[in-house]
Amino acid sequence: MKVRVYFPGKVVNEPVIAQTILESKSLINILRATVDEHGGDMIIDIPEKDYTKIVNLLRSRGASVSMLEKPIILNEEKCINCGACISICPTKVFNYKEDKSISVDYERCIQCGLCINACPHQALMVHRKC
Amino acid sequence: MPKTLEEINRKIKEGNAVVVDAEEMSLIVEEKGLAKAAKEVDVVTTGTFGAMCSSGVFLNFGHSEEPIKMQRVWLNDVEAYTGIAAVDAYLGATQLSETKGFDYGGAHVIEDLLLGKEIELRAVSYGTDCYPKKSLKTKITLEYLNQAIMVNPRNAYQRYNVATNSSDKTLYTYMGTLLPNFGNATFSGAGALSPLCNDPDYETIGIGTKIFLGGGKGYVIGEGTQHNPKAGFGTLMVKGNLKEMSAEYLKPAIFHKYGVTLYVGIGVPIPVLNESIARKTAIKDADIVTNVLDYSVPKRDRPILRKVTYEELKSGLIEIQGKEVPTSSLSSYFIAKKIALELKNWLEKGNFLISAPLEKLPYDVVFKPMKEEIMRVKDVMLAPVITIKGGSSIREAANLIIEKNIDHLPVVSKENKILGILTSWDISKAVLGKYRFVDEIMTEKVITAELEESVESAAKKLQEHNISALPVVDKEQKVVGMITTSALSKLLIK
Ligand code: SF4
Ligand code: SF4
Repeated sequence: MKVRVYFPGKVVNEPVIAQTILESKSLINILRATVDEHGGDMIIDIPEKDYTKIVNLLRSRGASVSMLEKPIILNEEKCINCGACISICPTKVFNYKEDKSISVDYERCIQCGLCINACPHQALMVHRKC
Repeated sequence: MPKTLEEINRKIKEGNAVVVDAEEMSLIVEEKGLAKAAKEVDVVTTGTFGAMCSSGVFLNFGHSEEPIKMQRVWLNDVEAYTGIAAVDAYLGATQLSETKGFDYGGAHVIEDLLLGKEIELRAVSYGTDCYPKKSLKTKITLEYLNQAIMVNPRNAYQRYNVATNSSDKTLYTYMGTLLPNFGNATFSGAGALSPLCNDPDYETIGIGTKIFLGGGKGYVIGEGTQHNPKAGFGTLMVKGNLKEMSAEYLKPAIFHKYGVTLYVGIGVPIPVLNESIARKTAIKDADIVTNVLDYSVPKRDRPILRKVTYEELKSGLIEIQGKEVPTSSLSSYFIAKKIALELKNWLEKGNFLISAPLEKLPYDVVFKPMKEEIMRVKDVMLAPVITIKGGSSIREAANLIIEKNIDHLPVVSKENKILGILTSWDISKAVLGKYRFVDEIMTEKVITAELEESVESAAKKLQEHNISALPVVDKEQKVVGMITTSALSKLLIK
């Protein structure tokens, strides 16, 4: 499952993820990571069974954690089902259904944000809630 | 037995015409054969819904209490062209707002009009004896306009080129976002549903053909601008009453870092008068071929990387230079199909008859490039150029550079083909190492210019790569000259 982790400025320099991997002995896959002056922002993929353990470890080190359910929002009113987003997305979130309308596989999204500007109809938004 | 248009229209009026969409038609022909399909089917409907920049609306605002002869006019800060009569204007879909830039344009005004929203109308004038008012500001809605007539100079491209990008930078184009290193390819057009693809010889579509336009009825009023039938790039000029249209089939779009455009829905009915027309309307995606172009080349004639069919494009992946490249459609097949079905519905209900074209679309025109005077690399390059053969010693190169007083020395093969380039700096650096041959120290990835390239584009390369010289190569990669920044600056001062 995908989880979003926020690191406030002061813990950015610490190897929080590495420590969490060592202590939880769980496989954590970093899907996306960005760091700026306000802190770090990361999307990680973790085994569902270790969710509580990992979240507790991360929180104890000062990170805030939230579950990613609908990482992006598709505005169905605006979407014209063109498919411009399909080839842009690195993780194949978008596909055509049988009737050539667009299906969204939210599970796969890593919030890279590439599709947001590529949609000519401004139908996509990244979900930002922490 | 061929049918006449009158027979078909009579059946439509009686409510028993057999109407199918273009996708269905290819299945019917496959199943029943041409003769039977031509006999049974009366009309084939087509549809397309995609970005059609060359679109806009003629508006008439009526006269103000104190009359004004509008010299410039804005709708929600988007300027419309009013170099016509006093209160007439043409609002182009791609015109950008003067306050909101890329976020709002003519296409958005059209949508807001359709949605019944209030639009701020502003105008200025120099004032005349008959039109004394010099400025005006008011609010209007679609309802208050005397006319809002959509006239689109170029719509419904028969097919369109596929765009991809070989460079290492993301490109933002009217073909959408193109990821670096052939990261994706984008295409447009409805393929087998596309109106002109189903009547490529313009046997039934011409001036006066009644069509579905933006959810209302419209007409073909001639060939579109840049109409290029022989290359399979025909276009249509269309008109219709905006007041009868719907926001569902006219949608503004923003192409990131490119601009605003309007998605227009068009559907054209094609009467199946004979077997030949039946055969043409049975066209499939696999029969429609187009070119994949490299949009990273900033030239009018972009290199064709390969040919591809709409069937391949719609599969989601195509191969370009050995790489699997994901494809995306910019136009909506989903809505194109909806339009074809809606038009079918109108015909079946008997409230839309087929009009015979008054005149056929021209077939004998060509789309010419712009006439302009361009300074080309071949006109300003330094030639002959001093080069050195691969395998020569660094000492020889040093001698040449000193003797001829040059800074750049292209390294070439026996056939004079480019292998690399040396600068005086490379040579000085080489003194510090244990190198012996030019091949060891030259830069192998040489940025070059072509003979026919414009000087402007060569100058851009110099600037982009932060270099001061470009070897000029011919079609066979043979070095034939040099372009240097110092030679270019002399050119400017001259
Ligand atoms: S690019 Fe935008 S409008 Fe097109 S299918 Fe994707 S979300 Fe919908
Ligand atoms: S943000 Fe958009 S492009 Fe990026 S992974 Fe999610 S759906 Fe794909």
